[in-house]
Amino acid sequence: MPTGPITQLLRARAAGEDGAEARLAELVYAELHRLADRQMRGERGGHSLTPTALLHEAWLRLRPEDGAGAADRAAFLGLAARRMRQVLVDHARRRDADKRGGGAWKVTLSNLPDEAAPDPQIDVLDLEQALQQLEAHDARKARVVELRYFGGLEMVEVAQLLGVSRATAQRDWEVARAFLHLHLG
Amino acid sequence: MDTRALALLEEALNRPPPEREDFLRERAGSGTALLADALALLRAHQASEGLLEPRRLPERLGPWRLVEQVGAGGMGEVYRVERVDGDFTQRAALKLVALGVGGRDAVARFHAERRFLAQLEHPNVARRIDGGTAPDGRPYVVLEYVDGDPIDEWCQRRQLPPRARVQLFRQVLAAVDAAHRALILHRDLKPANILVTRDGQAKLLDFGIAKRLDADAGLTGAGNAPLTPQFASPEQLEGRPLTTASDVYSLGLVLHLLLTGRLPAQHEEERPPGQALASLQRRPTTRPSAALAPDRLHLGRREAQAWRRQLAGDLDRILLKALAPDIDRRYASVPEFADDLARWLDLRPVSARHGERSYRLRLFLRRNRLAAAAGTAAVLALALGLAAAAHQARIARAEAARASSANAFLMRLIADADPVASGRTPTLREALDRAVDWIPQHFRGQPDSEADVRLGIGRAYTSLNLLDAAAAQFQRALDLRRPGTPEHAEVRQAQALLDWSLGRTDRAESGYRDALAVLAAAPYQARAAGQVRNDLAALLNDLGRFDEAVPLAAAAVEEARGMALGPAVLGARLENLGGALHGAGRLAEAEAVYREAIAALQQALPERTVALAVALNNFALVARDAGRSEEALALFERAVQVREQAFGPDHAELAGPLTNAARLHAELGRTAAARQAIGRALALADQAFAPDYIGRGHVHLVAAQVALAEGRHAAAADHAGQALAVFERADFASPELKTRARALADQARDEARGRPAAP
Repeated sequence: MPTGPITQLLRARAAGEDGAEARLAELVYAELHRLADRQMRGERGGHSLTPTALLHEAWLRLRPEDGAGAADRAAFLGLAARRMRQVLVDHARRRDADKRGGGAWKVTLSNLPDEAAPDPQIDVLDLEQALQQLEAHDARKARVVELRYFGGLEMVEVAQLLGVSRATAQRDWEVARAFLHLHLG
Repeated sequence: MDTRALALLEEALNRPPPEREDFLRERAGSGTALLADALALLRAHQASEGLLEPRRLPERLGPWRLVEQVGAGGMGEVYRVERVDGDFTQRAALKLVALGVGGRDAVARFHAERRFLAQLEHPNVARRIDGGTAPDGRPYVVLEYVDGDPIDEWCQRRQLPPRARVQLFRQVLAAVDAAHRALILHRDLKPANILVTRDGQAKLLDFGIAKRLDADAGLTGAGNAPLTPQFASPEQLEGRPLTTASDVYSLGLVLHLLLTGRLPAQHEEERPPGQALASLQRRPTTRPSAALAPDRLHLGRREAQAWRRQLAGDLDRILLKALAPDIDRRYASVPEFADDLARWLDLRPVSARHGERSYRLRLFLRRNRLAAAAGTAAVLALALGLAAAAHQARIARAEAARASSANAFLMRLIADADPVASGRTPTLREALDRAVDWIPQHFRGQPDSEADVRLGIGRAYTSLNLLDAAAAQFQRALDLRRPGTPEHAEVRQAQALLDWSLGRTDRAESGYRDALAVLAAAPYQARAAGQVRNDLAALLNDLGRFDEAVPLAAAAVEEARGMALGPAVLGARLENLGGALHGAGRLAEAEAVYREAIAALQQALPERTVALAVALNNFALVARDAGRSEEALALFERAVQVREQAFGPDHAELAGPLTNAARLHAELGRTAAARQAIGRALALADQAFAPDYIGRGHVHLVAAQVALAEGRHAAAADHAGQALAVFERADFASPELKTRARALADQARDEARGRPAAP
């Protein structure tokens, strides 16, 4: 994977250049898939994995040597959050296929508190389903979940990316969480 | 689910919790499906706290109970932890590296960082207490928990005047300086990372860790995206390579904040890095005295005038130099910054550091036989050596410029070599080797500068124990300088130190004597001459020629007094004189001198902590020889305490005074006390000392004595054997020590067999 073009693509995308978004998405998607594959197939297969850790690793690998700034990183994570979600869903679907075919490894998401949930592990596909329902009601709230959970962005960064106040982003997050809790229950 | 239910919940969340349910009932109407949805959401809201949020705490790691998470970043997490040990609860901070992020490299880097922290022992740096690996394979480090306030709040709460703020700030400089000598750039210096405890001790936090935990500090060293743009230097904002001068800039910002109540205008707001940079370059920094914000410092009009008067002039200049956007116009190192502040504080025209150079290096070299990695001293030697060069060159401005260009050359080399990438010692050595290769093209036609640089590099090699390489550089430097000049003598002095550490004491002595002859006759060289006298006296002390050492050491002390070189230098020289007098059997005089040395060194804390502990220990030996055992024991105890305060309870430096105390206890027949002290010393020595370090032998020798006094013959024989094994491999073990170890082993065996000891 070449490491050079990501900043240029990020900036081209910011400048509204044609095709930049698609090429960028392709690059990020490929890298995330590669990382997720390695993580799930390797010795640590069966362990839960943290989306933010994966994304972080992707950023470290894709980021150019000449030093991309914090704004680039936030833009990258904002974009990559959605890809991350896709990657995890893809893997979970393949998992189910493998299970039917006899392969046995389990993908679960970590970051879930023991106290809040008796079963601390939420299935990726269940979460995806609930998230799609939320999207139908309120796309921005679903996007907040995407950025915060899959992208690992801080609340301040979420608010900046979405162009809303921090308080609004926080409220979106709380409402979304309530919704998801209800639908994952 | 009705979409309106989500909107209702959102509105309800704007109200206090007790009113929310009523609000929903009122708005949704009783009995409706909408109300049912909204109420279900409200209940889910309460239950969903923490859902999809970062992972819950593990219960404990090693002996540490995790109390609460206090921070988290891309590369790890920070917790407040406790360790319960009997009735005593120790609080600490624990940092856990994230796994999977950066993979094995991140863990390797973390381990490297942990080693650095272990070496970075300074009273103003939050101490490393423990480290280990979590069950999931993640490494963690446990640091001193600092209960204090950020430095700006601390000053404000106490309404400190400028002078007291500068004094407090010097503790921060000392800490950063210590880190730089360990080749660690902090890169995130800001008030939040500088806490001051209730009793006024500044503690620097997040040393190195912050840098390594920051995802943007990649393995290549590229990418210096600042964690805190407000306190970042221009080069940091630009992502250019950082040097010690970058930390100087951030320190300048902190001091600016302390002295004026605000940051320079271009740093006041938090902006995206690009914009901040542009404004840094466009706008010159306002003089701090003109930037004073009396309202933020809660100053009345009169007080504000007084503050302004204090800032105007020297402090303005010092701050503007620390905050120069152009690296070349800035203080290149923290000591330069600190020296100027010291001059402002006490108007003394001297830097205390200069006269201390070789003493420190020697002390270090001695301690360094503890198998510690040697890198620290290399930068130390570079910094000190070149500071000295700059000092002497004050006679001619051109020479000062020359010294600073040499300094910049070397500092850049050091900064370029990423010490983390490949482990410290090899990296530093590589940097020095590279410097040597570059010298010919860099300094063509500039023999004076070339000699400066070779001298500096030679000193650095010396402290890395690369003595052949050092000797070669010294020789080249010597050849470039004219015999009979003070510059020539300076190289001779450096060579003498090298010879001394190689055990070639004859050559060392003649080198010192030659240097002294030149310096004593030259104008403006009284300081340098005093330093050589001091070194020579110390050498003679080592050789047991105390009667010759006494007059030299006494002259060096008088020079330190006459030139008001400050308590740090005076204390060190008095300590030497005390040693000479003690050796010469002049106990009463030695005692008076040691008392003065201790008083002086106490004024030079925390910088002189080690020297103070050494002086206390040596003074105790005088008291012991004078037959005042109780006093000696109390002094050993104080030496232990001083080191404990500086280094913590389990630092190897404690082994010396503990061993001395144990031996005295044993001689007084107090076997329980002796056993306790030697037990502690043994634990430390076996863990920290190299197998051929003479100190390890001393500890085992005394352990054998103690065991014998208690009738534990097998243990005594074992310790005596271990002592002998060390002495046979150690560099400087005298035949007497080996004989004593053998005699103790024999005695233990004989007594075990029920035979009387051999005479």
